[in-house]
Formats: sequence, C-alpha cells, structure tokens
Amino acid sequence: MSVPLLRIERLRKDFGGVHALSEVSFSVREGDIHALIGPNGAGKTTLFNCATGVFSPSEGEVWFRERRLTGLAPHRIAARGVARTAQNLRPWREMTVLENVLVGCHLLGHAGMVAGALHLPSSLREERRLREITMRRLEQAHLAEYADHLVGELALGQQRMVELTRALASNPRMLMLDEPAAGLHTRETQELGGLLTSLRGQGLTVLLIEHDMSLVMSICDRVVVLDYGEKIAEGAPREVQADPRVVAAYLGEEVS
Amino acid sequence: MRGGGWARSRILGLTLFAAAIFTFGLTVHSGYLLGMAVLIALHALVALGLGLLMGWAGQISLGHAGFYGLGAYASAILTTRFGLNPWLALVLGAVGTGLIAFAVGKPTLRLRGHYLAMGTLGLGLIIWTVFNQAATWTEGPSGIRDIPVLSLGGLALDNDQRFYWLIWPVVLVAVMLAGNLINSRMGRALRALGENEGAAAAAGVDVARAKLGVFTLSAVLASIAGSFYAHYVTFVNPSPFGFALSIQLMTMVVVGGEMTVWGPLVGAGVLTVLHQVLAISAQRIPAMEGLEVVAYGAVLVIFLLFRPQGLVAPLRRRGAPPRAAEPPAPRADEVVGEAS
Ligand SMILES: Nc1ncnc2c1ncn2[C@@H]1O[C@H](COP(=O)(O)OP(=O)(O)OP(=O)(O)O)[C@@H](O)[C@H]1O
Ligand SMILES: [Mg+2]
Repeated sequence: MSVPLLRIERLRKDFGGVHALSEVSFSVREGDIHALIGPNGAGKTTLFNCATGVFSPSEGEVWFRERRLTGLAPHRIAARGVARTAQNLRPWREMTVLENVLVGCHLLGHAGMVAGALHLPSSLREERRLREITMRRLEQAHLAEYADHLVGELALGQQRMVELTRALASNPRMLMLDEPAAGLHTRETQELGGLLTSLRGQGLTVLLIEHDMSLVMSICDRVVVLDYGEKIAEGAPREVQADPRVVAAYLGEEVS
Repeated sequence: MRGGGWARSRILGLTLFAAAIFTFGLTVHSGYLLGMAVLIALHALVALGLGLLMGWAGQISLGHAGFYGLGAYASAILTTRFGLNPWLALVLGAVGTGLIAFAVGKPTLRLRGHYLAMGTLGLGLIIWTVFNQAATWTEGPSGIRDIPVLSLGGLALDNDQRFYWLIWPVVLVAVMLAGNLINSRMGRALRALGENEGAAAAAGVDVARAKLGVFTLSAVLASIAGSFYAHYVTFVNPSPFGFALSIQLMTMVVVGGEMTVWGPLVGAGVLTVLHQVLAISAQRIPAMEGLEVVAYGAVLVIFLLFRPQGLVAPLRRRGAPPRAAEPPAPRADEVVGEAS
C-alpha cells in the first residue's frame, strides 16, 4: 500500500496560451476509487489524455507501478494494464456488442492478420478462448442477450455498460473512467456505483472523473479537485467537500 | 458465430458466388466474354485488397496500379530472363512488392492523415517511370514479350477458358480469406480503428502496425494479380500500370462499396465493363476520345456525393433499424437490472 499505483508528477499541458494543466501532482493508491473532479474546463480530461499517451505533456511525468508511462504510445500504455473510457468516445456503434468486447480482449490474444485470414489452428483456438471470455463477461454484465445487437441500437445506459465491459475485458490493473454517469438515470448511477465498489473489492483501482457529487461522495476513497488546470484540494471526500476553495470553485454549481 | 465459425450468410454468399462462377464458365464460350471475365477477376483481386485498406483502415492508396505492375514485371522478368518457374516468380514478386509496400507504409502510416495517399502517389509514379526507363531490364515502352503461360498439373493455361477456371476460383478463395480476416482478431481491430482510432488504441490496438499490415497485404494481393495478368496476356508494357489505373481501381472500390468483401467485386465488374464500352465507343466515334477519364471522374464524384456506401452496402441484421443517429432514449425501467 505504501507504493502508489499511479503517480502524476508536476504535470503541465499548454495548448497555445491555454494552461490546461499546471504543476499537477498526486498519487493513486492501489485498490482505491479515486475521484478527479472540478468545474467544466478544469483540465480533467486533459490529464487523462496525458496519462494515456493521447497527448504528450508539456512538462512532468506519469508513473504507473514505478515505470514511466510518459512517452509511450497509447496501445503500449494499455498493455501495461491501464484501461480507459472517454467522455465523448463511444463504443463502436457499427459493431455488435460481442465484437466490442472482443476488441476489448485484443491484448489477451496474439493472432496476426495472416493467421486470422488462413484460419490457422492456433488462431481458431485463440478465437474460441476470447469468445468464451467475452461471453462470460457479457453474462456477468447481463448483456448476453444483446450479444449480436449492434451497439448503436442499444439504450444509452446499456451502451455505457458495453463500454465498461469492453474496458474491463483485458483484465486491467487500473480503470480510468471519464464521466461514466453522464446521462444516466439515478438508479443507473446507483448501480454503476455498486458495480465500481464491487470491482474495487476484486482489487481493481479506479480513477474516476465525475460531475455527479453524490456518486463521488458515496463511493470514492480519495478526491483530487482541479480548477483552471491547478490542483486546489486533495483528501477524503468529506474534507474536500468542506474546503472553502472547492466551494468557491464550484460557486454557482451545486455541491451536494 | 461462436468459436470463430462461419455465419450462415457468409456460407450462403460464397456458395452463390461459386455457383455463379460455374454457371458462367459452363455456359459461356465466347472468347471475348471469357476474356472480359478474366480481366474483371484480375481487377477484382486488386480491388479486394484496396477495399480492405480503404474500408477498414480508412486509408487511400494512389499507387496500387504500381503494385499490380510490379507483380506483372517481376513475373515477366524472372521467367523470361532467368527461366524461373512462373509460380515461383509469382511468389517472389509478391514478397518483393510486399517489402516495398512495407518500406513506404512504415513511415507514412505512423503519421495521422493521408500521408499514405501522397507516398503511394509518388511510389506509383516512380514505378511507372522505372518500367519506362530501365530498358535493360524492362525493354522500356515496347515491353516484354513471350512470357510463358502458367500451367497447372501439366495443363497449359493457354486460352481464355482455361485461365477463367484458374482465376475465378482464386478470387473465390481470396474473398473467403478476406472474410476470415474481417472476422478475426486483427480484422476486428481494423474495423474498430476505422470507426474510432483513439478508442482502438486505448484498447491496446497498435493502430500504425495494423494499418501497415493491411496495406502490405493489399499490395501483395495486387502483385499476385499482376503476375496472373502477365502470364495471361504473355506480354507486359508500362502503359496499363499508370496513374489512370490507380484511379480506376479506387473508383471500383467506391462504386462497389468498401464495407463488404463483395463491394469491390461488383465495382470491378461494373467499371471494367464501362471501360470496355467507352473504349469501343472511342474507336467508333472519334469525338469520344479522351472522354473516358471524364467518365471516371464523374462516376467517382456521383458516388461520393449520392451513394458513399457504394452499390453493395452491408446488410443490417435482424430487421434492426438502419443506424439511428442517436440511441433511443432509455426508459427508466429498461436499463436498470442490467447493471448491478
Ligand atoms: N486538444 C485541445 N486543444 C486545445 N485546447 C484544449 C484541447 N483539449 C482541451 N483543451 C482546453 O484545455 C482546457 C481543459 O479542458 P478539459 O477538456 O481537460 O476540461 P475538463 O475538466 O475535462 O472539462 P469538462 O468537465 O467540461 O469535461 C479547456 O480550456 C479546453 O478548452
Ligand atoms: Mg472532460
């Protein structure tokens, strides 16, 4: 527990004149649900993008299990055990639910194009294995009956579940979720909270960007607050909630 | 569906296709029509690979006529100069072309955007220039004659009919393999990156490598088709392998539709026939001369504007509504109970 799973070190990201992140540092402990909150435009998504190799930070580093992630391509970071969903990035709507989760299993397989085209025995064996894993995942997520539906046909809440199931399919060490509750109903949000709590029980670490404060307050172990690209508070949910700087940052927004 | 097996619709499609090949081959005896069918098959092979690249990797190649030419010239030179077995020449040409495609694709596909289009445009021009200028090897514009025909089990494939029975089964196999690929681990990765590159990378897909793989594969397929061309016509010269053919091949993919393996096939048929019709009219009516290029441009633009999915669009399954722009709003009672 002493060594953090993820370490953000003096991260800075400028877009031209916009300082999306300045000198942000914090750590995520293994086995925690760690929230990253802040008003719109605070830099939360930018931090995710810097951590997962989508952007290269202007300065600073990101470490995961004591190895540096900064400078690695996104697929290599995924291979290190970091899975993510993105705010505006949906599941593959033109693919079936089954296929979406199979793509999530990409890192569990090795078969190349030639092996796949020729149906080599090794690739068929692997395909069977991945499909078994996928079907098990879909059953756990109560999505099995939709396996052959295109994701674009499902309701929003189900699409979110597909995305989550897809992200979990490769057995990541850490899951980064960018506003997973956006657009969900109260009951769906509660169920999402329950799911994340049970995943934490299985040893998964979660870094969660979320605007739904009741969700954050009810399931998170620790909270970091960003405002205009700076970290303005960090601590247990109740402490952070009472912090006057946080209240000021959210002035006009509801903090419940 | 489970276990990597074949969907029923795929088996049905391939069976119908095989039946069509047989029916045509058994009933048609006109050398002209059989020759046309062979030409369509050759174009279909190239378009099939190009379709994988355009449809799944979202990339455009303006140099596929060059890869087709490389295969043709490799076979021509290796068999006439070095007396190599035509089948061995075909394999060597494919390997060489694959390596060249890899070398050009590697730096250009790492960048986002359409750098591959520019790279292959340049490559196609270089290849065409080499065909014309490196006369010691290629005989320049006059071309290489007396390329041996292919033979299969002692049977020389020296007429249109025999060649038809070789090339169309080859197309059938290629369509089958392309279908396998699309439904495999890497094929899904390609489709995923075609729809959303960032999401595919986040799922662990090496996007640049996947694109490079399909590009190389499509070049290899073009080269194989080129080798078949050389042994079918028994003569190669530079003129068929210029930029015009690259555009024509791209038009085949766009017209047929790039999101199914059948699209490029249909496109190859339509465009090859159109080409022939235009060529004949140009012979009869001198005023039509040069109109061909205009016709291709027009066809390309019309399809891109009015039917970007091509003639053959993927079938929606199980009466699903045709891609709703937004997912239907979830009812409160609908989604709950799914999560927990
Ligand atoms: N690719 C980009 N190019 C230029 N500016 C960007 C880019 N991405 C983000 N920004 C800017 O960086 C700042 C932080 O944006 P970011 O998306 O990280 O905020 P956020 O905290 O995720 O907000 P929200 O809660 O609305 O999702 C904003 O001012 C935004 O305009
Ligand atoms: Mg955001």
